[in-house]
Amino acid sequence: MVAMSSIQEFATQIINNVEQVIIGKREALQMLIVTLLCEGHVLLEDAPGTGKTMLARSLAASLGINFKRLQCTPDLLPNDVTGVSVFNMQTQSFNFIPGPAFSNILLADEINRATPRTQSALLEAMGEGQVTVDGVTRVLERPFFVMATQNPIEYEGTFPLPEAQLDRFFMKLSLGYLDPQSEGQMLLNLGREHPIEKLQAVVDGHQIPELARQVWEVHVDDTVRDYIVRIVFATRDNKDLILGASPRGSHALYRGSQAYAALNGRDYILPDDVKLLVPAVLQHRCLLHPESALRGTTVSKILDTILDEVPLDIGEF
Amino acid sequence: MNLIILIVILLAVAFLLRIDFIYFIVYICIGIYFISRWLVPYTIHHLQGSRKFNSHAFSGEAIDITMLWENKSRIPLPWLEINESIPPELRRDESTAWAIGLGSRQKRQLNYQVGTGRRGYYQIGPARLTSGDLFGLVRPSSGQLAPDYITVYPQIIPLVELGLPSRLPFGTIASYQRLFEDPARPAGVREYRSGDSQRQINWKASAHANQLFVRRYQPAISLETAILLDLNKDSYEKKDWRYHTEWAIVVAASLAVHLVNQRQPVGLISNGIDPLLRQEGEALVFDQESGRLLREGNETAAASGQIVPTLPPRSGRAHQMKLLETLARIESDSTIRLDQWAATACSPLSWGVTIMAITATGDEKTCQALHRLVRSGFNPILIAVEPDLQFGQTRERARQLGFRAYHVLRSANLDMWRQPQGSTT
Amino acid sequence: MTKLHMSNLARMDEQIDPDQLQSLSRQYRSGRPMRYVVLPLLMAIMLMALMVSLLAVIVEVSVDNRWFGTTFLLFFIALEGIYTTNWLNHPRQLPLDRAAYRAAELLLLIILVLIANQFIFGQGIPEREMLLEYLRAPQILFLNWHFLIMVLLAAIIWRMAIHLSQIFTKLQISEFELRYHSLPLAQRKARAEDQPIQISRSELVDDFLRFWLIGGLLLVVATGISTLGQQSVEKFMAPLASGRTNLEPRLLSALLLYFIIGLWLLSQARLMHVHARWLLNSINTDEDARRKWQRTSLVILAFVVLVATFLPIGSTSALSQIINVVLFWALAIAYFIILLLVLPFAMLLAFFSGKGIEEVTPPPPLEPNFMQPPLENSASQLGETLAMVLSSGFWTVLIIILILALLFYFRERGLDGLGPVRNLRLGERILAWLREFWSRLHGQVRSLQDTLLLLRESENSDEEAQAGRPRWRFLRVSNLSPRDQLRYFYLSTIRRAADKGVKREAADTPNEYAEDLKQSWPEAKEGLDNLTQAFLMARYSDKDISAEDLPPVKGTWKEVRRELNQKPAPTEDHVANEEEG
Repeated sequence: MVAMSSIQEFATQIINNVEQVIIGKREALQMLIVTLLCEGHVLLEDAPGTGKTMLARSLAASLGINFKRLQCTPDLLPNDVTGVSVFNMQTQSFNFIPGPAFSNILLADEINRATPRTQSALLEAMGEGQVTVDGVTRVLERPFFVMATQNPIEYEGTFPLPEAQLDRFFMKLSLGYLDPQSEGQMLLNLGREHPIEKLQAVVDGHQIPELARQVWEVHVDDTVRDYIVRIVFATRDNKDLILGASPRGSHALYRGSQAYAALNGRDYILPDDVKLLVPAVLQHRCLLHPESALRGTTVSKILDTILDEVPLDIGEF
Repeated sequence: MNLIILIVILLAVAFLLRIDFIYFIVYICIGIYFISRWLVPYTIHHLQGSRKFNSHAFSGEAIDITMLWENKSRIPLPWLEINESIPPELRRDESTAWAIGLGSRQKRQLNYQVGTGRRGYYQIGPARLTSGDLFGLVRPSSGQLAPDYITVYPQIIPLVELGLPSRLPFGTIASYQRLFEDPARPAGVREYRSGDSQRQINWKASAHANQLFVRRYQPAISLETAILLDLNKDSYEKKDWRYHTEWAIVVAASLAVHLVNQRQPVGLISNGIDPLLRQEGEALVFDQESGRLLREGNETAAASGQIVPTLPPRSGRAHQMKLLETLARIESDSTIRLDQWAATACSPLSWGVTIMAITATGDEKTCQALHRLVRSGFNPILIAVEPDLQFGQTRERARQLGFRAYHVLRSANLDMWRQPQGSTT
Repeated sequence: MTKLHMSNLARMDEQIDPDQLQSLSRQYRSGRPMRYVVLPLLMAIMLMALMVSLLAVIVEVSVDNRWFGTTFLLFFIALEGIYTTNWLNHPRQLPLDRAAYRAAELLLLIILVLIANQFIFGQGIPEREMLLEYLRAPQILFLNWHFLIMVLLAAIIWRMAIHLSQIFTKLQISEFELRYHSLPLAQRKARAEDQPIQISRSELVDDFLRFWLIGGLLLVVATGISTLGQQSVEKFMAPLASGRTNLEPRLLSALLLYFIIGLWLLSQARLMHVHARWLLNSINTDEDARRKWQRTSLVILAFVVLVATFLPIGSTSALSQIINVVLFWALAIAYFIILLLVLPFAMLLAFFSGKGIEEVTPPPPLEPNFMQPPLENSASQLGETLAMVLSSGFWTVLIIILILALLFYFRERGLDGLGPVRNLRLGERILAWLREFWSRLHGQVRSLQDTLLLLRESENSDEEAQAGRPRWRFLRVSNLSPRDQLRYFYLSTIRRAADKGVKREAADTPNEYAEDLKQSWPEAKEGLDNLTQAFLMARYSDKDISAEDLPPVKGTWKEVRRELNQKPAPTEDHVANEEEG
C-alpha cells in the first residue's frame, strides 16, 4: 500500500501540473499515465489543433525528461527516426548521429503520413526498446514513451497504420474538442506568455521503470482475471469482428487495470477498472468486418454490448 | 348518453328515497373515474421509447430491431398497445404489434425482424401507442414514437461476375512526368548536386566512392477513380428503363465497394435524383406500395435541386458508406443527357482521374463526350448496361477514340443472349 | 350451420400447432379458476345482493323474516344458471336442443323451489295425512302465495344469471376464434371463409353496464321502499337495528357488494373486450397481462373504497326535498297540459251525450296488503273418485316428466352411468393439482433453505472441513470469517433489493449497481456506498480484515436493511426480453 500511495502521489502531481496547460482532459491524462506506468505507447487519433503536441510537451516538462517531436511526411526515411551513420571524411570513419528515437518522450505527429517502411522502423523501436543501425544495436534509454498521432479516416491520409501494427500501441485515445466552459478557461489562461513556458518538473521521470515494477504488485483477484479473459474471448467470438483482441490485448488490459488501480491509491483491481479501460485498450486491436462497418456497426458499439453482456461473478451465499 | 341518463336517474331516485349511503357509492365511482382520467395520460407522458438497430443493411438481409420502453414514473401503466408501422417492402409474416404492461420504473425490450428486399430509404415507424384505464370509463390516450430510417444498400456483385477485369488501372502507376518521387521505390544513386537535401545522401555509397552520392527514386502518381453514373431515363430504352437503371446502380455500387476495398479513392458523380434532398420543412413522402422514399413533386430535377451532389474521390470506410447510402436512395429521372453534362461534372476532378462512365449504351454522342474527357487528361472507361447487338462496333469506336469499353449485362440478359444466339457478348 | 361449424373445427384442428394454440389460450383467455370459479361466484353474489333488496321489500310488506331463508336457494339457482349457460356455450354442446334443455332445467328448478318452500314456509317433511292431502289435491302444494312468489323470484334471478353469463361468455374468446387465430397467417388468408363472425364486444360491455345500472336502480328503489317504514321511527329508539344511514346491515352489504363487484366485473368485461381485440388484430401480449390487469383493478378499487370510507356521508334530505319540489312541479305541469288537451274532448262528449262532466274522484288510498293465508285445503266439489283420478294422473305425468327431465339434464352433462368414474377423474385432477401445489411449496422451502445455507467454505474454516463436518450447514453469520461476513452483509442486501424489484444485472459491477440502488433508495445513499466499498475491499483485495473492521459495516448494513424494508420499492423494475418472430 505504501508503494501505491507513492504511485498515486506521482500521478496526482503530474496531472495537477499538466492541468495548468491542458484543461478539461483529466481522464485522458490519467490514461496517459497508466500507459507510462505500463511502459507502453499511445496512439492519439484526433483532428488538428486539439492539443496533442502541447500535451506531450507538458508531460515531458512535468516529468523532467527530454522530449522530441517528429513530423511524419511521405518522404521521411527510416534513418530519420532511428539515426544515421554519417561518414566523416577527415577521420575516415562513420559517426553515429542518433535520431529522435533516442529521447524519453517522442511525439510522432501524423504517423499515417509516413511510408510503411518508416512506420515499421518506429514500431520496431517501440516494441523492442532498441534500434539497429548499420548492424549495430543500440538500446534506447528508459523511459521511452511514444505518442503517435493519426488523423481520423475522414481526413486525407496516405498510409494509415495497418490493423496488425496498431496492436503494438498500448492504448488508442482521442482527446476531442473541449466543452465550452473549458475552452473559455483555456483562453483565459493564455496571457502574454504561454503557460507551457512556466511549467517546471514536479517529479523525476526516471523513476518510471521502478514504479512500473511496483505496479506488478497490485493484487488481481481470480474472478477479475477470468473477467478480463472472458471479455477478450467475447471479442474473438463476435460475428461482426474479423479479428478480436490478441493475447497482447489481454495483457494490456491486465496491466492497465493494475496501473489504474495504483493510480487511484489501491493495491487491488476492481472490475470497474477493467470496464473503464476496455475501450482505450481493446478498440484499436479489433478489426471490424467491412460489411458490418457498412451497416453502421462500430467497434465501440460492439465493446459496449460485450461489456453489457459478459457476466461478472461477485460470489453468492 | 343513455348510460349517463341512467346514472342521473339512479342518483335522483337514491336522493329522493333518502338513501344517504349512496354518497359512498358515488365517492367510489368518482374516485375510480378520476384515477382513470389522470393515471393513463400521466404515465404515457412519462414513457420513454427508443429503437436500437443497424440502420444500414444489404439487400436480402434481415435486420433485428429492438424497441426499448421505459416507464419513468412511479405509477405502473396497466396496459400499453404498441403498433409499429413497417413498410410493405420490409414486412415479414409476423406481427409488429404488442400489448404490454409496464410497472413503475420498469424497462421492457421488444424484438422483431424486418427483411430487406429492394434498395432504398425506408421509414420504420412511427409506433402508435394506445393506453386506457381498466374500467373503460375514459377515452384511451394515445402517443407516438417518432420514426427511424433504414437504408438498404444495393446489391453488390463481385467484379468477376460482372464480367469486368479485376485489374482495371487504378492505384499508383508509373507516370511519365517526373512530378513526384516515390520513396518506397528506390532507383539507384546519382552524384550529389548543390541543393540536394543532406537526408538524401547515401553515406555508404559515398564512403565507398569517397564522393557524395544521393539516392534516386521512381516517379509516380496516385490515381483516383470517379464513377460517372448516368441515370437520365431518356438515355435508356423506354419500356425497360427501370430495369436497366437499377442494374446500372448495382454495377456502380459493386465497383465502389471493390475500389474502396482495394484502398483506392473513389468518388461518385451522377445525374440521378436524391429524394432525401428536399426543401426545408417539407415532409418525406414514402411510396404506399413498397414504403421506399419517393421523389416528391413534379418539378424538373434541376428546379427542385434534388440532383445528387458530387462525392469527390476519397478512400476509407466512412466514405464507402456515404457512396452506398447515396446509391441506395438515388432514382432515375429525365434530367440531363450525359454528353451535355459529363464535361462540366468532371471539371473539378484532378488530372489523371479514372472515370468509369456507366450508361445505357455507347452511342455516338456518348463516345464523343468520353473522347473529350480523354483530351482533358482523364482516363475514361465506358460501361454499357443495356443489351446491344452492335456493341462490337462501340468497342472499336472507343478504342479509336482512346478509351476502353465494356458491356456488363445482367445474367438474365446474358441467358437471353446465349439461348437464341449460342454465343456470349 | 352447427354441423358446418363442427366440421370446420375438425378441419382446422389438422393444421393447428397445439403449442401455438396453448400459448394463445394462455395469452388471451382467462384461466380456468377465473372462468369457472371466480367469475361465476362474483356474478352470483352480485345478483344475490340485488335479490336481497327485493326480499327486504317482501319482508317489509309481509312482516315475515322467513323470506331471507330463500337466500341460499336463490344463490344456488343463480350459480346453476351461470354454469349451465357456460356449459351450453361450449362448441361440443352445439348440437344440443337448448330450448328442451332449458325447459328441463326450469322444471327441475321449480321442483327444487317447491321442496325449499316446504322447508322454509311449511313443516318440512310432510306427515302422512298431509301427503295424502297433497296426493288428492296437488293444487294445495302449487297454488300458494309463498310458492308462487318464490318461483317468481327464482325465475327473475335465473333469467338475470343467464343474461349476465351470456354476456361474459360472449365476451370471452371462443374456441372458433382461438383456433382460427392459431393458424399461420398464410393459412388464415386462405381460409378467410372460415373466419368466425365478429362479435361486437363493445356493445356487450355497454350491455353489462346498462344491466348493472338498471339493477342498481332497482336495488336503490327496493332499498328505499324497504326503509319507508323506518324513516318514521326515531333513530335513537332502535340504534342497533339500523346502520349508520338508517339501513339494515344486510341492505348496506347488498349495496356495497352490488356496486363494488359490479365495478370489478366491469373491469373484467373491459379486459375481455381488449384481449379479444388484441387477438383479432394479431397483437402479441404477455401471458401475465391478465393477472396484472386484475391485480391492478383490485388495488385501485381497494384504495378508492378505503379512501371513501373516511369521507363524510352527507345527508340527502336537502337534495331529496329539491327533487321532490322539481317532481311536484313537473307532474303539475304535465297534469295541466294533459287537462288542457283532454278537456275540450270531454266537453264535446258531454255536450253530445247530455251528461255533465263527472267529477273525478280520487282513487282510494293504498292500504298495505298483507300476505293472504294459504288457500284452504278442501276437497274439490267433484266427486272424490274423479279428484283421485285427476290428481293421480297429474302426479304420474309430473313424475314422468320430472324423471325424463332429470335424465336429460344429467345425461347431457355426462353424469350418467359412468358418473362415479367421471367423478374419479375429477378427483384425480384435484389430487394432481394438490401434488403440484405441494411440490411448488416444497421447492420454495428448499430454495429458502439454500439461501440460508453456506455454499462455500471460507479459508478460515479448513479445520471444520477437516473435522468432517458436512459442507451444508445453516448459516450463522457470527461464525463466518470477517471477510465472509462483509461479503454476506452486501450479498444479503442485494438479494433483498432484488426481492423488492431492483435486481442486479449479471454484467453490472457493484459500483454500477450501487447507482441503481441509490436511485431507488436515495435516503440510504451513504449507507449503500459504504457497504459497497466494504464489499469491494473484502472481495477483491488480499488485505487482512480484522474483526474490529466489522462493527461499523454491520451497523451500516442494518440501517440499509431497514431502509429497504420500510420503503415500498418500485414494482417490477427489471428488463424483460421478449423474442418475437
